[in-house]
Amino acid sequence: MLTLAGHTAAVRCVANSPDGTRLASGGDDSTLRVWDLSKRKEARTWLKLSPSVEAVTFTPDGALVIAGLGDGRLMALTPNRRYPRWEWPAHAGGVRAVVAHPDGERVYTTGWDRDVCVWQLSNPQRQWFPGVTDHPLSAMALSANGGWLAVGLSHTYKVQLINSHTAKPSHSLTSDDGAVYSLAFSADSSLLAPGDTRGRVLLWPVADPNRPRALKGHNSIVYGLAFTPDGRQLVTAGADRTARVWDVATGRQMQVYEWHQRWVTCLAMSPDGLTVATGGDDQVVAVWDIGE
Amino acid sequence: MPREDFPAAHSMDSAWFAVDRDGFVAYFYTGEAGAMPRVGYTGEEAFELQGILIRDLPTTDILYDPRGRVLPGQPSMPLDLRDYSTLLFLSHLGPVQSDIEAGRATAVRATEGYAVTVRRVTAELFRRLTDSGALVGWDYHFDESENSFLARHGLYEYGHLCENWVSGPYGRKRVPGVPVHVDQLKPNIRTNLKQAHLPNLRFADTNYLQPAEHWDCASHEEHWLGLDGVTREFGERSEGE
Repeated sequence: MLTLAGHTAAVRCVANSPDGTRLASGGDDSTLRVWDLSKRKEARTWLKLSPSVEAVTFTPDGALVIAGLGDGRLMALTPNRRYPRWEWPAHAGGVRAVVAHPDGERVYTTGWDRDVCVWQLSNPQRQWFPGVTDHPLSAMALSANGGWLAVGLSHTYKVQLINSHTAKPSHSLTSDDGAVYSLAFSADSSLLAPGDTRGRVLLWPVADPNRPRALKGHNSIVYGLAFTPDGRQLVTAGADRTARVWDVATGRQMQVYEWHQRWVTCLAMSPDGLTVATGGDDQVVAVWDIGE
Repeated sequence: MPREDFPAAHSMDSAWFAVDRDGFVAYFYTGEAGAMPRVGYTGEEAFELQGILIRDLPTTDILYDPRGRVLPGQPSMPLDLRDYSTLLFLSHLGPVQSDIEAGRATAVRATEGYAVTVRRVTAELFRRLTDSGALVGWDYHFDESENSFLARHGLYEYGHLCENWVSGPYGRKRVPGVPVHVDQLKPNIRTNLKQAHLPNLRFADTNYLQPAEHWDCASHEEHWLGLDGVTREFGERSEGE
């Protein structure tokens, strides 16, 4: 297990570069950090970005780091430059999620203003998805083929699927209680996994939403989850200070890791599916091998 | 400890918030003498936040807690027969079943046993409750304020238990059906709330809490009463801390 120390407040988001050599992390200390994983050290730090860095992703070519900030700005940063390539007011009250489309031309965002937006990277300006929901949103995931955008509602258990090309809401997935906090698609886009505020993880066939399977283990909010690229395992992280590895076919919990002293607030899977990065309320980023 | 400026000279009449081990949020009302931490949302800021949360958060069920009405180990007060809306905690619903069916009593959720609200406790109902031995505890209950309870919006609610003679423990009065997590709140609110963090307890398991055992606190009083039953001066921590 590799520990990356440097943040001075809770880590809120982590993302791997597409080639797996770098890791970006942002947090409540108003910093965004890019780590060189081969040298095991910080390669670049941006300070005083906002009250907090809430969400981060790399573009598919690895050239840009897109960060969503607590003050509502969306920012594109080049790892070798101090100043952002561009920044834009995105969501009043703060950004909650940022995901990059695999075509490398678009990113999607959502925030406290309850809007879902798409940004063309070549000419960034705010394009709004109308009529998705008038409820607060908490999480967002994009299917690997880029066709489905899923957004989770913050205070009720509902996941809304949106056709990312037409921007039209499609079917939704609902459950009895709790609230969605994190979302992930499997690599073949057949399964959607929401994590909720009560510690429950569901495995939801997108084509058959009436037949979810529940993975029970966490006992508090599930902050992050990600499938391995082969779709055979799901990794989850939560406020119970654990990260867990699940066998997707059987729903069996395979491993429980306790790398963090406090809540495990975010999670990212490496592109090869062999390592996981977790960020914590303990100000630490841990990079560890599945099966370690 | 220096006296501080509180809304009423004779009373704290303030509020504060805290976050538990799992990230769930609780609201504390000081009443006349409850101690208040010097971190997080307190006083006027806490009342402002209360309004924001009631406005912004969806509603959920309330579970009424019979324990958080009296000090640990103390018996409930004698039932008040005045013309007040009353919350009754019962070991079974037998003595109020006819009142529920007639619409004179409303069953509500409780953390243990049963609970009903009644517009008033008549002498006849009092006799049935006494004869049955089903009455576990009671409190005043004002229907018109129920939607302003923060438990209705996902927060645990505690109230001070010692009126005005000492800064005593707080008791858990109401539990939300679906608790709200601090990270479901906006970044600026989240950051301030987390300043009053209790990393080793869960509100779901905590019936009584004395903030002076966890933080430096402000109070109208000079002494506080610990959960161990010992009274101490502010600035003095209990043994083992």
